[in-house]
Amino acid sequence: MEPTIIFAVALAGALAILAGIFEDLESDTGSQSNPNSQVQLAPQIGHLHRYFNKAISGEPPAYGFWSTTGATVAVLLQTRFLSGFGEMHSVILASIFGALVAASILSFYAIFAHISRTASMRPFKQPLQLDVILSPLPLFFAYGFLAVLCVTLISFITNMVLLNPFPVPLIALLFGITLGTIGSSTGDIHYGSERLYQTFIFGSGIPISKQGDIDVKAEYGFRNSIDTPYFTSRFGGPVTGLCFGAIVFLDNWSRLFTFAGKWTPILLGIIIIILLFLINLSIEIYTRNRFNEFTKE
Amino acid sequence: MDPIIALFGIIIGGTLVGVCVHFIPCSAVGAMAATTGIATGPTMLAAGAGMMGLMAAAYNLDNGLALMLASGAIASMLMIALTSVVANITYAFGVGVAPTSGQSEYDRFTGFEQKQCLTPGTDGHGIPTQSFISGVIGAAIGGIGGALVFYSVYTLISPSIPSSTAVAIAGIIAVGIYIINGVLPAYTLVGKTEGMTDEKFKTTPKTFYSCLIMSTVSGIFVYAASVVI
Amino acid sequence: MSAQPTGQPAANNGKYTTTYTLFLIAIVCSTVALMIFNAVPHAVFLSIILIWPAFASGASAVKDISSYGIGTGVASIGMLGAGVGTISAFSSIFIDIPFSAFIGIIAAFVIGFVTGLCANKIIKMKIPRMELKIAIMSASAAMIATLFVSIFSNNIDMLLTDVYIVLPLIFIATALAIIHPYNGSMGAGENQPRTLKLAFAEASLTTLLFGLISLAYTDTITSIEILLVSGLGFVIFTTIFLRAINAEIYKLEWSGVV
Repeated sequence: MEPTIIFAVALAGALAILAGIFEDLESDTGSQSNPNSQVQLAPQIGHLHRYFNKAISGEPPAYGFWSTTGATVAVLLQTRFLSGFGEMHSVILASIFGALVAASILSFYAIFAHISRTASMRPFKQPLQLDVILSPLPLFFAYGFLAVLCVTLISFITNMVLLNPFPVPLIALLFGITLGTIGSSTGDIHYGSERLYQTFIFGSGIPISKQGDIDVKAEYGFRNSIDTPYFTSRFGGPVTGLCFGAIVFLDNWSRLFTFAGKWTPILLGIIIIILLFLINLSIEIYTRNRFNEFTKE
Repeated sequence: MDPIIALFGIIIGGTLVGVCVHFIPCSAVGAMAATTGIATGPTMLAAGAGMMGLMAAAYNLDNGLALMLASGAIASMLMIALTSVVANITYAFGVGVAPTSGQSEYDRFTGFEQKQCLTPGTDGHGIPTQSFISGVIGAAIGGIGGALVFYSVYTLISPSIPSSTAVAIAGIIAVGIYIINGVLPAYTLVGKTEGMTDEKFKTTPKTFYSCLIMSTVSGIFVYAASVVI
Repeated sequence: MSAQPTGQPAANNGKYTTTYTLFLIAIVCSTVALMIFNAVPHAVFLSIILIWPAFASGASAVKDISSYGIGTGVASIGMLGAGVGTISAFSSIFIDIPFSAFIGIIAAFVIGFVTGLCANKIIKMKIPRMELKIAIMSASAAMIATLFVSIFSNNIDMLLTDVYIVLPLIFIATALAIIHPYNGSMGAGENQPRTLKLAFAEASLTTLLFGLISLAYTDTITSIEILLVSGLGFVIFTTIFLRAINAEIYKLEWSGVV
């Protein structure tokens, strides 16, 4: 075990945690992915709203695209920066430029989606308000930039230090799709079940008949998308980061050991999965003991 | 590996990917805690798991097929297991519901009664033990399938070109085959499934035949392009 | 519970074009585009203009399939089309005979057709003409991928260069460009003319990105041609698209209560 490789594994895990957090906050700001169906449904049942309605075709392909864009631009720039800046600095500098290009394209796609979807809401009298576009725009530009930057750096680490044979853009595509999947399946639950339905009592799912009945009023005035990260950054975002960080870290960590020959990572992987099964079981038992009010009806 | 065996590798791998989608519990309205399953689309969840499998398999490209398939399966299982656990943590502490199946009376593995924790008007929440086990099995199948496709395409194209180019092109073709085989089952599932215990699990033969046909056609084209012509 | 649509019907700003017409236009244009690039590499700006109809035909096919409400996301069906198209295009790189690029496009059409047959006959989705629609989507994606692979490799054998680095980007960018026009316009007031305008705007945005990437591969004049023509196209198509939005929106305002 070389110290460089251990450091690289730890750094990849840490960057993955950050990527997960920023990815979830970005998607919540634009109400992307599954909770988007609720924002889309709201005008049809009479709730006009001031949420940003982004929906860039589901998070996994969208994040695959941003990450691949960032990584491709970064790889091509890095070879040009290499002689002037040295290996490490050229990677960081090139990743920043790559992430900028990716975040700009993200913004264009987001604006197109919002205005076109709002125009399609004409039969339900949903107006297009320009401040709804302009005020969250810097927010998801920034979050998108940070998420793509982290994924690009992880891809460089995986290719250059951990010696994965895939080229950097392909690694970024794979990580991007995985990151999008995780963001839409863990963090978005907090946005979809709690933030959009904050008037519902805590401790219940949203009945299918209530769907689309989202909260459109805030503490004062109307709710907007900038307030969303204020709520989701306290739970949904960090949890997404935990999940993606743990996947990247544990997957790389299990490859560090060789005490049982070539099959050591497999053995360690099985042990981790059994531990996860036990954690899942204990969460299930805990919640069943804690939240069993529906039996007392 | 002989090229003709590699062709069968693509076909078997593609079909395994198609079948694996039926095992992984997922549902789009899961994001509103309204149905059982991980809260995203079936294709994309399977793809997300498969991508981690491909990446892990690539590390073991020179260490033989068995180790490659095993590492692909383990990485996919790790991804699904962690996503299930963290999704359940979100359901437990962010939403305040217990993992419940909407279709089964009792959990097949733990025997817990399911109806007592179900919010009225919903169709389950979270990932109960039976769906967790089903998801992990599905991820293993998908990881093996993805790694097999990658290895087969790599053996088909590697003789004529430099190794780094071959790895990259085999990787992107494997991603493509993984995704196209993951989409067809999503149609039979109509966007949601609870895994092995779901009613829709009986539609697996349909997926099997269509993925077999589709993988055969695309496998023959890749084979023809790289070996015959 | 659901409110009846009460607004006026949307302004009619264009005619409905069938996907088949668009596909025929795309085939002719892309064939000419590939031939122009093979014959006169410095006329690449014409190839870029001629590849945009392929994006529109792909986007229109996605709209036709998805508007039946198929129980899975728009993203999945678009990824299916782009996946079939790009694996055919990338596999055809290995074919060593003249016009191998066209073999990739034809193969994408055939594989897409078989996929549609499986979906309609075995899974029984019963979407009219689904085979043809998936085939159109795959062939359109294959045309786009083929053109950009040949532009990046400067007409020499791609396997000897490091163009393999950009293959993932070609795959996913094509997928997004054909998925997003319909996905971003979904809703009760969606109409095909506006979706196609968005498709052209995003097509030029995608070629702009490829122009940026081509700075690393082609000579500077070629890249500047791609960048200029895509930038100009992006400005023109975005203006047309914003005019369509302006005509169709219920109410446009800076801010206010809803």
